[in-house]
Amino acid sequence: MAALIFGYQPGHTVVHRIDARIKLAALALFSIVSLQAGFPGLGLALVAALLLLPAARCPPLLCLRSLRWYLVLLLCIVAARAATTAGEPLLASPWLPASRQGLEAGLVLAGRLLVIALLGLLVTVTTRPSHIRAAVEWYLRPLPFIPHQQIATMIGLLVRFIPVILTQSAELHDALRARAIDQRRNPLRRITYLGMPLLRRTFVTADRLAQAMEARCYGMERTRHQWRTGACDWTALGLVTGFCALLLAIS
Amino acid sequence: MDIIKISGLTHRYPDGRTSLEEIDLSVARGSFVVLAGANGAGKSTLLKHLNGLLRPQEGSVEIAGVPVHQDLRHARRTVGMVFQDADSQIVGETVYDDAAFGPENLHWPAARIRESVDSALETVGLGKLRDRSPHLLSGGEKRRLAIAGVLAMASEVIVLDEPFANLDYDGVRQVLAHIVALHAGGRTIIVCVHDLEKVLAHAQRLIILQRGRIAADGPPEQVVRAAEACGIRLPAAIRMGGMVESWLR
Repeated sequence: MAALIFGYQPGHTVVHRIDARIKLAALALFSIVSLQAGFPGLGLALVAALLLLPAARCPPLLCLRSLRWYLVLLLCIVAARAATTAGEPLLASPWLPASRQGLEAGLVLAGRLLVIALLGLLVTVTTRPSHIRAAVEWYLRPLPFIPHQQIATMIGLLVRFIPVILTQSAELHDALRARAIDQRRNPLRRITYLGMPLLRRTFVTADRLAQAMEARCYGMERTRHQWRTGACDWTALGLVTGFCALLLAIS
Repeated sequence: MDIIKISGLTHRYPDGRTSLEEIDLSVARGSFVVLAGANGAGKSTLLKHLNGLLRPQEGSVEIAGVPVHQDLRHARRTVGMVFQDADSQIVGETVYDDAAFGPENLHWPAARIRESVDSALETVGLGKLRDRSPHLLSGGEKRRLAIAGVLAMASEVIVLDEPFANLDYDGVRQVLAHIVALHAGGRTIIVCVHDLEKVLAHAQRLIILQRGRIAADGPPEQVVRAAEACGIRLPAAIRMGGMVESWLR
């Protein structure tokens, strides 16, 4: 169930109603500003993210549980930074070479990545994938030599087919376990036995998908998304810009 | 009036093997046709010609009087295809987005797309699941979503390749009920199967393919006896001297 939090959750909150282009712009702006933010700014941003999540009917604890492996990765980053940055030693033991400066740098980096991940999660949970796709297409449209519609379609297909490929992988894994793959000691052999059929199956699926898309008249010209930007959207953008300015000021 | 007219259609694989040989076939508007054949008989290859996914190497295919190669868009809009593997034909990230994929490709205005998709989803009973990820649907729901995808394009002919494959009893009944309702609503239905039991009771015409040729064609009660010789199991009720009963009863 926890994995489901990564997908779109239908709702009627204010965050759900904001234009996807504004949400993507706000996320990008915030990500850039957070690169400059220190402890006070990140603390404020973390509080803001944890307040916004319930406002979008998205329980913060469930979000953090969904990101548990990401949190483990962040802990590794903190540990690595603490162990490899020169500075005032934190512990007397020569076997644990952690520095205070390294720990601070690691915490700042992990804090930035955590806040960005939480806000990214907020965007994906509150925005229909088709709107994210249409927003990406809208941003790419002015760029010359970029096939914006094809890129947008590819993003949509990626979102659609990641769970399909994961399911196929789980099925293949079960089939291999049923035939005692666990008895094989060589991990390379095990990966090959899983990887080759999965790759073959993925290509077959891609081929069938291409035919199905062709059968439904897929082409270059498609109906474009109808954007409706109102006062609520501009207010949201204004608030995010103001908040980012505040972060820069206190950092 | 015939909505599909095929004359002298021949198709060969790149290695030279023949998959369809001199097929002559007409399908009347509003009819319910079952196309049966053993694996490798050429059923799927024939269906792909109706939608322009394959072009005739010899002969011609006309949809509503227009040769497929002349107007692919017309053929694909008129003939909606529901493939055997529902998972690999659903392209949308949500149920609504998938049903809207075809109409968006046809460049319809947004209001018309909304109306058409809402109506298609209601028709197949998926109106309440419009925001759900297709990955989370059951096998029968996925098949119904694939049908909604072609209904949303207002296709006159609906071609279904093995629509009951991998479905449980309830799933078969749900899909069959929708197919029968679509036919009652005036659409032309072509169902491709290798097991006649589930659908024959509703068919008006049975075409049996064998090694790329039409082995038998006519009303099911007259043609079905030829099935066994073409590698298709005769329905149990007919073996016992009775008539095939609908699975919807």
